[in-house]
Amino acid sequence: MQFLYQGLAWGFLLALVPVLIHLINMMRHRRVRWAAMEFLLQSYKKHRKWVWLKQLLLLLARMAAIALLVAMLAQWITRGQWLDFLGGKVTHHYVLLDDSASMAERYGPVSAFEVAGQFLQRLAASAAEQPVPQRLTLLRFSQALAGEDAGQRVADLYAEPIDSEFPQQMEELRHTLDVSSAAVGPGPVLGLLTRLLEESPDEDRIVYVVSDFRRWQWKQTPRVQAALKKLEDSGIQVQLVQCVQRQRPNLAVVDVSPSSETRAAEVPLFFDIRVRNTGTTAASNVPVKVRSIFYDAQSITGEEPQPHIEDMPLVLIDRIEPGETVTRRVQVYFPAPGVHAVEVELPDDGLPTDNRRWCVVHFPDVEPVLVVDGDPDGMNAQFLSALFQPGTHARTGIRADVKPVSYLRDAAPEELSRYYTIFLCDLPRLDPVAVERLEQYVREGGGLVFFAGPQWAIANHNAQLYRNGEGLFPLLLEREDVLPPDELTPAPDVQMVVDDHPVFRELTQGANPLIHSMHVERYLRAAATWPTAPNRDRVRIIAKLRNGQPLVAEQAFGKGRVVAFLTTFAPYWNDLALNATVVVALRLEAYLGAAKRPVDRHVVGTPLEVMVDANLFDPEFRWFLPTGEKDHVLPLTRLAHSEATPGKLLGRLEPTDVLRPGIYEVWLKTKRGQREARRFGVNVDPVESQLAVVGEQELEAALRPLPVRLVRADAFADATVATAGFNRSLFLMLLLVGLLLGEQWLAYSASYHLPKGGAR
Amino acid sequence: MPDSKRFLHPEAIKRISRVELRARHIVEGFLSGMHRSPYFGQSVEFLQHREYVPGDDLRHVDWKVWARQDRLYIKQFEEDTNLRCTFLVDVSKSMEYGNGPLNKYEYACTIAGSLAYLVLRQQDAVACWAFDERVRARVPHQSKRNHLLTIVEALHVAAPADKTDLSGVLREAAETLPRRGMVVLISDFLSDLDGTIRGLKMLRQRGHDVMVFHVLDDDELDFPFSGPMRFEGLELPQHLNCNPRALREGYLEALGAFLEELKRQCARNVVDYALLRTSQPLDAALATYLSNRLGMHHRN
Repeated sequence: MQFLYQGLAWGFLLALVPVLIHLINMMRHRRVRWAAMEFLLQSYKKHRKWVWLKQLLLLLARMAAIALLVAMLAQWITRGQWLDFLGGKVTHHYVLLDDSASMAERYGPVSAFEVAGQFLQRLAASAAEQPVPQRLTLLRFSQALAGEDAGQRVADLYAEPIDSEFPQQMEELRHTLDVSSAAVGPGPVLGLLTRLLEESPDEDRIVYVVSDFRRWQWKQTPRVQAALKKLEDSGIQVQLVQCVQRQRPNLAVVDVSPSSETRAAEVPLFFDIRVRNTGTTAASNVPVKVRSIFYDAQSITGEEPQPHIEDMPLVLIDRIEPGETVTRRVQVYFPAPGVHAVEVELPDDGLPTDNRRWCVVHFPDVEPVLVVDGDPDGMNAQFLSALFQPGTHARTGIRADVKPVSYLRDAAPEELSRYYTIFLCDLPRLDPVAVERLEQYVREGGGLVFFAGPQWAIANHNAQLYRNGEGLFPLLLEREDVLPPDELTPAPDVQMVVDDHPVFRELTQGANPLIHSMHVERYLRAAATWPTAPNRDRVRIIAKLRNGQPLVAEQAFGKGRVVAFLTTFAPYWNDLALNATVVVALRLEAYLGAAKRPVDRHVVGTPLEVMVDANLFDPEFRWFLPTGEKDHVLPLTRLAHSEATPGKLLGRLEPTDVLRPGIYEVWLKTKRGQREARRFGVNVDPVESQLAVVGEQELEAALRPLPVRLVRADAFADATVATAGFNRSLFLMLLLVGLLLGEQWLAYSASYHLPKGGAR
Repeated sequence: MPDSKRFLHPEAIKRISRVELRARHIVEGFLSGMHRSPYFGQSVEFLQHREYVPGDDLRHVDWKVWARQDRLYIKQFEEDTNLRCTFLVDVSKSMEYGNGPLNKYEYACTIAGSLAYLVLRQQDAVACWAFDERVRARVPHQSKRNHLLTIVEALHVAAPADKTDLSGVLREAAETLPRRGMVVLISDFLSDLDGTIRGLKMLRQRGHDVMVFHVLDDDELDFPFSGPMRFEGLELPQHLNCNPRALREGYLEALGAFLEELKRQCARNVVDYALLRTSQPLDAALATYLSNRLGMHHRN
């Protein structure tokens, strides 16, 4: 039982007073020596049970009367619904507390979230003084990430009775709450609230939406509008409490991502850093700290991850205009394979949460590529191998596995899928099984490069690879042809159709692009009907010959991509491999292997999952979470089994566990006792950096026709709390009066009232 | 209440310590107010006139006859000089109860003394038994004026004690009393009712006129107690802790049934019954006696 004045609850001991009085009376009775004892005993025998029953009822009635009086004075409040239908309506405060990342914005000495906490404290104090029984439910926006069906279990407080000690309880709770870094608007929590409201329909309910009211969250919000309308239609008062007064200057790292290059140990990799000015004033001389976080084998041998963190040269951004996003590129080098990370940090500003960003990248030892060459001399393969593995002093991070054509038929699909890119040069006839394997490989995200040549079986490939526009090869070929020299009007043999293609970007830049130095003598002519081919929409001609014939074509196939060169790689029909244009093969690997490179894009508030083979790993996952203040980790052990995929083990962090940005790490243990680590870079959603606050008029326009009651958190008035409702104390008083009347009747019935003429 | 009777109230009587003095006081006070008493005409029956002889009480002279005939005649009432009146007074333990000026025992003794004085004053013979479960004191019939003292001393000697055995005492009285006479039984009748009735029947069968004075205290009749109480039996060994208010109704019901039955049996056996409260003025007992005496003439 909960009481507004908990101390008065001791008064319930007074209910024992009637018992004490009864016992004392039994001890201090008057003695009378009585003559007519026989009649008295007759009466006693006849009425004994009834008298005893009435006396017991009388005693209970008196005890109950005292208990009711105490309950009335102590302001009894209860979670139970059974009293409500008797008329006792409770005022229930539902506080929806925005703890999204933008609530960490500081203005003055406190953050918006702390302002919200102060509001909560005032609300608790005010509600505790109300005569009507009060309850409070506290839901944070981030808790709705658990799903709208999560119900009351995710609430910090659910229907908590408000008594005199509640403000102290709120004070303690407030210090345990912290702003999350999740990008979550009011929609999910309003959905969660709607479910909760269905559980307690017979209450006077007030909903407080305590938020920073960012424009992006509230301007276009049909879902929020619908939810608020539902509340209003249910007669529920909705109070919007604004915790932020104005927008503060803020810079945010909105993206850190690796460039589309080959990723391998000992190969420098560029990272693009994008910094946005979300404030209203320009920022100048912005220093950007970049750190490389390197994990070697020793990093996972201790009790917690021990990476090597190295500060890289500071990146200085001269000026960023309001709303402008500036991109800077830094080169990062990791000496050993593994899953490494890059951290970027901006100076402290209004919203510290978006000043740091992490990017976790998997660096294999090498990226293997498959080279299949139909040339009897294997010249294409030789040139490619030489390019990818130039020697001990230079490292491209690519390993070329040269295999015969029959390998395509014999290799298992899993084996093929290991390759980032497959280079198929001068292919003779292909086994249908090989074609099928290749299609499967590309469909699942592989990259395929065709180079033509003298061995190219045109008819066969047209049937198998082109397959009326449904196959891997993008063009229907007609015949081998010669590009005659044009001495009258010298022009480059190769002309780019796509100006800024990633593969040819380096070759086409500058006043004298390298691509112009490439000479083509022979090629495979595409059929004259190619502009109207059935796959025309999917095919992109990247480069063409001087005579207008396609030279390089590209098409997407499933999740993968195919690039076809209608000439050789080896210098049979051109000089591609003989000059700087040879780098096009590197670019092809980087471009087409992108699908094989894991993309690390996790935002706060989304689940993290690791699925491993149950035959290889023990069912033990040890998670390390970043804390808010320091680069520190907390161990968290989870045991998980995957029900959806038997034979697999699933390690999962729920959205509500992923509320901090940083590097999340999970340690796995193999059946052989070795430890493995998986890492995730979790970042704040850049949308949270948009700090523009919606004005009252804008809000009214967005929520029209709903009435908008927007108040500042520091101007919140107690009057809101004091809503009309049935006073339970009044009900208790009526009950008490009824009980006292009953007690009097019982007392009269039990002959405790004096007869006329008095008594002795 | 007439002024002459204010001295018959128990409070007043209480101040007179000796029973014989009380008796005299009561009877004289009672008789002095007789001319105003509504019981007068019914209690004494005129018999005849006889010529005055010196020594006769002048109050009995019929002055109307003297006025008409100039001769002194006195009014002669029915003589009961041969009346043998026996008082059976209950002095058991239960008679000790009393909350007023007089307890039941004192009240009963006072009634017995007063009636004895009245009877002796009429030259009749009076005997008195004091009893509880047996006859504790026995005073034989005599009509001497100073016999009252003997009776009173006998009642004094018999201080309340022990249980009541009305049945045995009445049976003994029926067997012992030699001649038809009048038996006045003064008791609270807190005894076996059937035995009591049987005893009264026996007395009646022996030709005795029986007059019953049922003396009860106000407390016994009204049961006005409240608050937690412990009732301890005066004659019975039981005790009872109770809230008296809760048992009052049942008690009065049981008592009423008892009184009704006693009254009914008395009426059935032609026994004069009078219920006396110890708070009542004592002349009620005398009035009842005289009234019943008158009735007895008619019965006999």
